[in-house]
Amino acid sequence: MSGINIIEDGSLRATASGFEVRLRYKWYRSLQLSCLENFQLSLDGQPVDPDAVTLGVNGHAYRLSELAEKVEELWFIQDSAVVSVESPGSVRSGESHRVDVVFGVRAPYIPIGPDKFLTIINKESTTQVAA
Amino acid sequence: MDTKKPILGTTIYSFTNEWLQRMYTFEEELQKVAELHLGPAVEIVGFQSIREYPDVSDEFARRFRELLDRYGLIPSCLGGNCDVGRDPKRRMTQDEIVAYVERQIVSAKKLGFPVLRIQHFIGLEVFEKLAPLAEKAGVQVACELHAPLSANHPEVVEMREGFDRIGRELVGFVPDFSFSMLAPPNLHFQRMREQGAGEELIQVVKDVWASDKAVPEKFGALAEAAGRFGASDVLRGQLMMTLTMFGRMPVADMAALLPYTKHVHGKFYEVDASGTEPSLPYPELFAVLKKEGFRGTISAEWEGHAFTEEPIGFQQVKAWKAMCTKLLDD
Repeated sequence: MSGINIIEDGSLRATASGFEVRLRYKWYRSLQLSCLENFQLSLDGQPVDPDAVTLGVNGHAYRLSELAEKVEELWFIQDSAVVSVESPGSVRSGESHRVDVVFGVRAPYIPIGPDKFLTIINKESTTQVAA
Repeated sequence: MDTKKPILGTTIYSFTNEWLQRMYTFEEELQKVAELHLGPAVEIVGFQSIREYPDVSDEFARRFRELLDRYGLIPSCLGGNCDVGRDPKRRMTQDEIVAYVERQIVSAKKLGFPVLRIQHFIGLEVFEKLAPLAEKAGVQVACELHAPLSANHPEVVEMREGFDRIGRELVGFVPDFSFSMLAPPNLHFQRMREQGAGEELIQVVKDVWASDKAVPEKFGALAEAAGRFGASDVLRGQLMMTLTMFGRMPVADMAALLPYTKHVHGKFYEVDASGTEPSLPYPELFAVLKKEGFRGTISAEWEGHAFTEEPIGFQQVKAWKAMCTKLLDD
């Protein structure tokens, strides 16, 4: 089966302050960061605090609460975003962990109601050994 | 080039699976289009191929023009978007839409595209404001028309009249063959099977699609079937796409759109081993284009990637090109 994974294979990495993974999304074109919706991450079945998460594209890392304002910053469709979580000690190099992610991408040019746009759900679960 | 015929080519969007899987760079895609003789006309989706979109850097534009020259390709249409919902708090105002599309008109000019494709829902007032910008740049602004819209849909009739008033040399349509289909494509049903649909449900969907009932009644019939067969949310979503992606407009109706047509999307899903596309009436569509003397560009637009992640875009466009070349020569 060919195709891309939403959570990149082999991308779980322990960091000094917690851990990070690399993400893609399934759509055909790039979208503004302001089109990401309801971003949720969990580690080993436990929801991660949204305030502890940043998403990095084009060399900038943004808090999830900042994404809605980023109407000009594109997440290029071929790029991986680096998702970093501040959670010291939660992931150590060599350990195996399960990561779940779910988020919507809003197609801002496909209105399906007065204030509603087509939204594609990106959802994936992976178990990886941390680098 | 025989300019008494339509000019065939492809949109780079046909290679979405290859692009997402990072199999080729943009330059390699253009090279492959040339090597496989899939041109000469080339269309791109700005937000798919260009990092700086809706703007374009001088460097990208220079390289693009250089590559087209090197490979003997011609720019047909730049796929643009009216991202009116990019701000989650509010929709763009009319003036903001005009400014957003203006950036894309400038980008089209910079890249050498004679046509910018946008969406129809922005309405005639916005088209009216875009017309002088289109004139100044020498770029026509045209909106895509596909299922569930059709040539004689009241909204489309109103747009035709509006375009007559604004100026057909500045604004128009990019019709998409998906408005005249013989049946939903096999890939759609294959996807439904993967999502848990049985053959009985699939037969119901085929029958509802092909019936002459009114569209709201068809939606009702599909919702009823989804409930009766216990379809999951994912399957239900796929099932409803049957009525929004695949149209049943009589092929002959396309003739009324051609005076407004700036470019055509040769939508297809699967050209099979016998060289035909079983879900679309290509011989009849091409007969209308020839009879009406259409001489514009037509892109192969393979949208099988909405149903499969297999990287078969180049193979499919090659088969489409062979099929359409034969239809033009017949």
